[in-house]
Amino acid sequence: MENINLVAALSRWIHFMAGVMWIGLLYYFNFVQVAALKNAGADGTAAGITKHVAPRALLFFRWAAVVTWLAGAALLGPLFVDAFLLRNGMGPIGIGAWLGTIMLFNVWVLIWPNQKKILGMTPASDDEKNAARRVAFLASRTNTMLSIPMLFFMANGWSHRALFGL
Amino acid sequence: MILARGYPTKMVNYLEMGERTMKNPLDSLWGTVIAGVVLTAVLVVFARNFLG
Repeated sequence: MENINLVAALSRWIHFMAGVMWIGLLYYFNFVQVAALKNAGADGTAAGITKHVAPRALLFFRWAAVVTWLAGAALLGPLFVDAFLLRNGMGPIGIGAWLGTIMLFNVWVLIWPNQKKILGMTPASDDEKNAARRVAFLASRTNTMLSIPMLFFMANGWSHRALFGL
Repeated sequence: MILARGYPTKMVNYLEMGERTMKNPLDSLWGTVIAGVVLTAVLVVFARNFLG
């Protein structure tokens, strides 16, 4: 029993730390970098961001997403299936888990491969780069939008239990 | 000829008539945040009414 509690405590701790890094960097990209790059492009200083800041931020961003999801799965433990099937009182946290999973998919399938083209890590023509820019932007904005209900349902404390009649 | 009177052949420019094109809310930060809050409200209603 003590071991189970220790695993849950460690999982929750890691889930929170990695989650703060993931969503913090997501908000940095959307609330800071997009607007900053627009201004930096105008005065020719964008390379400072695209060469030195963005690749490093993306590294921590995408791996923090993986660690957050794995720690969340470990935290759910035997309730993992109940959460994803939204049953046995695990509906609200399950909604949060589904939103987080969709966001992880967006990071690895839509954002990262397209960012690699934009940053020149994989070869791409100008047209491909422009298309990649739009896909990565919309996927990133979608994740920002999804993070709002995701964080609401993840904070599944007593106030939420009362709200959902659990 | 009678039928033709009911079907104008001239193309109508709806933009000139004041109709606005729909924009993607995710193109603006405010649109993104508002869409997230609306989605939260929709999911809360769903969770309260359809989940056990």
